[in-house]
Amino acid sequence: MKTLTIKTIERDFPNQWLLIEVTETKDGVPFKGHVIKAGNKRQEIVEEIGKNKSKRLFFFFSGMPASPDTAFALPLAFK
Amino acid sequence: MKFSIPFNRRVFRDFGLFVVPALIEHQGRSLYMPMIIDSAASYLTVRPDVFAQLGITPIRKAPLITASERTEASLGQVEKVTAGGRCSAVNVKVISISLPEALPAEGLLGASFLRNFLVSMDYDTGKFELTTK
Repeated sequence: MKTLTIKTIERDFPNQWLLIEVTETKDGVPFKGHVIKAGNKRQEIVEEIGKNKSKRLFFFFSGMPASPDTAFALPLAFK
Repeated sequence: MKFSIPFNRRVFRDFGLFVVPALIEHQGRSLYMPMIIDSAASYLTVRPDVFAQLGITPIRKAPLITASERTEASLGQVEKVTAGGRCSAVNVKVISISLPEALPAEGLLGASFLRNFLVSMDYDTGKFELTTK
């Protein structure tokens, strides 16, 4: 499998869910890796996480899921 | 020691949120995901499907209050969480809840992780720092 920078992978797989095996980090951040699975259906990509137990994985969406004027109010939880 | 933690500049510019790639390690699994720094969340928070894929065993149900409802969430614990490569915490409590699809991250780095550090967020200079205790 071809190892690429995360930036290149994001560019090559726009607006997709990605599961990447991380081969190199920089300042604690994934820097290089190769794509294990990519696609538009989140659930199909998530299901690969448990199947790749011994690998360092990076899971994320390569697009921006909300418009820049969006406001977020996030949850609180009781102990 | 104080560490500057890399974060997603575009999400910061568009939404004013600090989103960092956090590494969750549990049961032989190692998973980086973009997580929002959220001191208003009591726990590290992930979606139910990721909670299951990481092999996290629910300890109990935790009462949960969000901005819009009161409900319950599965509470578990992961072995290790790391931000910025060198800021790690072990045995971090985590809850599983359905987060909005439009969230520009896969979860929240809440107090169960942040409590292990002194936390500094400078919105003017765009700097997020963790200092080990």
